[in-house]
Amino acid sequence: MRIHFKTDYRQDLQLFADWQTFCYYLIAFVAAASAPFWLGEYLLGEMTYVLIWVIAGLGLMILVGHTGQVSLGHGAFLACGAYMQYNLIEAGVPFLIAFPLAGLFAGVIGALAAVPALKMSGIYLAIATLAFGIIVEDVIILLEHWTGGIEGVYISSIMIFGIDFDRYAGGLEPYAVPGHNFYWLCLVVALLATLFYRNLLRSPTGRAFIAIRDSEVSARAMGVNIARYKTLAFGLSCFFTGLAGALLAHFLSAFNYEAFLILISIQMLLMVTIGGLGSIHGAWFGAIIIGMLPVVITIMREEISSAMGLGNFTIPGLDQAVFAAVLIAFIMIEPLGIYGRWLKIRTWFQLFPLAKKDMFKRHKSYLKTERMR
Amino acid sequence: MSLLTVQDLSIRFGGIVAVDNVSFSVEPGEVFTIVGPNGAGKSTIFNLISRFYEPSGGSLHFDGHDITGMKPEEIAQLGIARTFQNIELFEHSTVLQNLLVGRHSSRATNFLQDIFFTPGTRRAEIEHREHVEEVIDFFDLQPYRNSLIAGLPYGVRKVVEIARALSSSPKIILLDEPASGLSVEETQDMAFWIEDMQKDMGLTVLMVEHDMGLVSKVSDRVLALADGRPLALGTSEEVQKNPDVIEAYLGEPESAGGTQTTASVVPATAASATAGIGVGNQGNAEESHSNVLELNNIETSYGPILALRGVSLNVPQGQIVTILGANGAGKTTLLKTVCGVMDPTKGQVLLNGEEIQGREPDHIVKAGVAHVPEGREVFPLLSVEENLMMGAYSRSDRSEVKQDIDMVMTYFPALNERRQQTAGTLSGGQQQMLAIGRGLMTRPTVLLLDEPSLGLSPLLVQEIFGIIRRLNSEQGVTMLLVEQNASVALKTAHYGYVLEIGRIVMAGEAQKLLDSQDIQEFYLGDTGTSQRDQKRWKRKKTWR
Amino acid sequence: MDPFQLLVGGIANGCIYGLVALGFVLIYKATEAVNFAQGDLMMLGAFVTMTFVNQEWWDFPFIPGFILAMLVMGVFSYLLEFVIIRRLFGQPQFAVVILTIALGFILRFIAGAIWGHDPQSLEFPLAGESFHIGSIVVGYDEAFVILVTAVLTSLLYLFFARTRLGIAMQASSQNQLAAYYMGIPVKRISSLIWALSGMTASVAGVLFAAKGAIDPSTGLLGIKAFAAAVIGGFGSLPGALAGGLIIGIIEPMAQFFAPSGYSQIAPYAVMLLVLILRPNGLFSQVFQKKV
Repeated sequence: MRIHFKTDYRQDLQLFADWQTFCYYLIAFVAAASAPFWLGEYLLGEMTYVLIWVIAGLGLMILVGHTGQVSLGHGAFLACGAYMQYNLIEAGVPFLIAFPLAGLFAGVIGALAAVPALKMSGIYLAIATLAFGIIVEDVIILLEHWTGGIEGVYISSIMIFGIDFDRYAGGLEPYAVPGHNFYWLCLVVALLATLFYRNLLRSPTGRAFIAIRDSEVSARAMGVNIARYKTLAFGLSCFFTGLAGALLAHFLSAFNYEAFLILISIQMLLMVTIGGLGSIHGAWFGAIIIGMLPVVITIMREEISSAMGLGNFTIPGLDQAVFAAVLIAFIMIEPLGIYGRWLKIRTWFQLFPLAKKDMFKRHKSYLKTERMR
Repeated sequence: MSLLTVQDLSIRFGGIVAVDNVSFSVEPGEVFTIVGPNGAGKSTIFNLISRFYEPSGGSLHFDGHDITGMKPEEIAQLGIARTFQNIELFEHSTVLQNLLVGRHSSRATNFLQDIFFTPGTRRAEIEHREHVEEVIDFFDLQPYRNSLIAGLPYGVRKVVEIARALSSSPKIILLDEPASGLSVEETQDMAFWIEDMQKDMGLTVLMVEHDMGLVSKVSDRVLALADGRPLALGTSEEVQKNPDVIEAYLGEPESAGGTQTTASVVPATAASATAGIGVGNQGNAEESHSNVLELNNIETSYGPILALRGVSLNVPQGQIVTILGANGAGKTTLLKTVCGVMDPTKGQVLLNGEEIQGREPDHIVKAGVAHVPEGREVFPLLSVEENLMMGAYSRSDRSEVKQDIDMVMTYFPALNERRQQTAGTLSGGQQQMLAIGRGLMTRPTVLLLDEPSLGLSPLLVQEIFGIIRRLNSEQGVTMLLVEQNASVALKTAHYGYVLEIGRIVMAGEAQKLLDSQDIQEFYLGDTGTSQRDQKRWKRKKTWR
Repeated sequence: MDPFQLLVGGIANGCIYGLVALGFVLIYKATEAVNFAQGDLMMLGAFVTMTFVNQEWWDFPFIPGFILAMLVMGVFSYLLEFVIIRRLFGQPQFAVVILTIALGFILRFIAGAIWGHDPQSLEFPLAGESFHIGSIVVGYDEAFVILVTAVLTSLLYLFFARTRLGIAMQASSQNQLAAYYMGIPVKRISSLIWALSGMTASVAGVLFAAKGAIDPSTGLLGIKAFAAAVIGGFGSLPGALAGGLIIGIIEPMAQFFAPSGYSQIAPYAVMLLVLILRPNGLFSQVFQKKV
């Protein structure tokens, strides 16, 4: 177990606890950044997809994990970002301006949506946001002029200073697989989002969010303006989600309302919960699991069916069912998400060989009504 | 000029007037205490001052501002900080983070600066941190700085909440029952801190408290309330001598100090104590008591922390056995282990000779163990009668259940008037009565009582313990009692154990424990008047 | 078309939403968990009944087949709780929500694998027949739906308000620990309520299938029913029915009066409106905590 001797309050404000931790993250970063050189085109595409979900997940985590406000309609804000991005890019706005504007648009819509949501909480908020998500789905179809209606739209590729960042563009052809530019763009955005999130959590704004999550009454008594901070949380959350939406638009190239169905919102919520509510790691873990699991399942199915000589064998819904079964297993083993399990494994190694089995045993716990507020 | 002026303050809930034309003013630098029976409207006044409730009449002035129409968050900016009766901390954050939230009202940065973590934010953070560290030093919270609230013992949480309020550098601090649930030792610390806040920091303190020992030690002025109306205002002695206050709140005058007890109870228990209570192999002249409940070498852990480290004790038939100990000693864990809500890792729990450890709690209750949990834990949305019915869930004798409900109602007439009221709307004292009544409805072989006096007025404590004694003598109920108010507990019980950090360190007949010097020093408290004039060091704990 | 005619159809539909919503509320009332697979349980109930009753399957008489299907669904839900949900006992509500969402996927897959993905219909003895009230045509199936819903809701209401088991169920959701202290077998109660909820779902499924076709994705109707339960005030049985009726009535009305493209939003828009005006639903089940 490492012990930190602290001699200055600045040490508690650092991004990494010590150089060792920094090294771990550096290794992870190098591995991620070099992916285009050692991954195939298909897997790189999936990785890009995961990164987009990381950004969206970080957004949702601010709201659900750190402010305690459930949203089952975040797909709507993904759509806001995506369609804003489309309209700006098609109007000839350069990517570097259009991209933050798309996020900002989603953020503003989110902040506006927060106003009626201020008084709601728990399942009531969940269902209200769900309704919002469904309504936005239909609004997308109705606003044909901006969204291409049911047919959807086709978005032009990203050009930054003359370099093509399209999903299938590849400048380093012999060394790396196509799509690396777009992958790196997503990686940079995801890392920036993570950095901003970290900053938020080590400053008064983030603490106010957590205060609202844990006890609104005492947050108010400490001078936290609940309405303002909830609105801010919605705004920031939707800003990040909007950015993810903008990237998703480029990732899909052609898309319509079906990219933002209510199932997507539910999947985002699954992501942050499976990852572990209330932690940045959770958003990353969740996105990786939810993003990569279908890929793993497809590969496994193909492997198994070819090994058994079944040819191209499919049962409709089988992949989804396996996906769901794995999720169930995750939740049953670790109700607090992967991050919770990760902490346990880390503690085990840090204490090695002193860790006892009892330390990680789940305790009997009991719930009390949430109807008294 | 007064710091806080409350003028003709009233509030109605439905048809009931909870606070009725209350006026008082708090001078800068004084400790002003509000006392009164449970449900007198003390916490309501706090909620009115911190603007959680809208008054139906009257006005509030603080430091030259009319705060009657302000919002709670604006109040905090003006320098009013408060604590809550039932501890409202941010459970999933560390102590440090909790205290830093206390700095919120003096934050200097906006969210954009925060996102980019500008040098300005960094500087402000370090300033906040330095300020918070001073508070941590003041309350000796260094060992807990980075621990999560969720795992802290009750006494520490109580202190953290006050520390959080103090972090905001307030002008006035509102303390809602700062000593409830604290042991004598912790209450003494609390008295030190309140005096230090007042004398060294020049803070004004407005406090609600039931522990009259603490109240007389630290208060400059005391306001007694009953039924939302002021009864008396004056120094602590004046108020305690007021006959109305004695009748409505304190009970018999001898019991004025929370740590002293009624004289009238002593004979009853002293008699039984001198009769020689048989525990273990000690013989008894009148009858030999068989052990209803027996614990052998019980070990229970919370995650990596061993909360009980091999505890053995006996509860004989028809006796009251009490367990004393500081907060975090493992008393509640012990009771939870007995009734199966927590599983021991080692050891046996024997009920009438039969092993019951590790079973599902509902089986254990059926076998005859009833538990009146700490903090009441009534079913808030069910009516009083339904709550009692639930107590009899595991019984099938319908007609006798009816009789037993009537029996409970005769012991607790206050509940009889409120049969159909939902339990969540009862006052703290009434909820406590309901919890005890509900426990009785199971017709237990042994009744486990966890802190029955928590947060109750002196008069109610006397009443409840009177009832406990009556239940023991009239109904022959065997009881295992955990209680912070050691003197009442020892005067009620026949036999006592002292639990410290998960181990039994002392055991004996209640009277012997009462006479022990260590018990007197650590669990009964001294009777001095002002804490300042006394020694401020503590003797090392021993158990002889 | 006569608005009153629309009303009849709307009420009958609303009753089905209400019944599924009842299933949500039952589980919430006794365990404070939200079962997102409720709609899929309904779908499963309909398919099981179909298997018992339809000619091309086992061709039982309708009433015994129906009752048998209810029992099967009750046992199935009991086991579902016993084997899976119980592992999350005492864990945050959120975990159960995720678990049941995932369960829904699996149930849908199982149903698809057994019964196929084409819409099928239940052979309902009263199908196609109707009677008149004034100028309004009321199908026997519609009348049957309304009647069954009314009876079932009142029975369940009485069960919770009057019986010892019903009150114990409420108690165990309000404070699991205290319920244990009273000797209430909290875990068994949780299994029982799942069984009850599964049976209610199968009734809803049969009623739904009596009025139209079912396929494995019918369970997604659960989202609308969930919305109904929430606007009624989650935890209130009459509220669930009221919420169901509101949504059921608005749907055909909107289709009739609103321009096309807007009509399917109407129930959700109304729901948002209700929640904005009454953040805790019509029959609020949320109470102020004392501080």
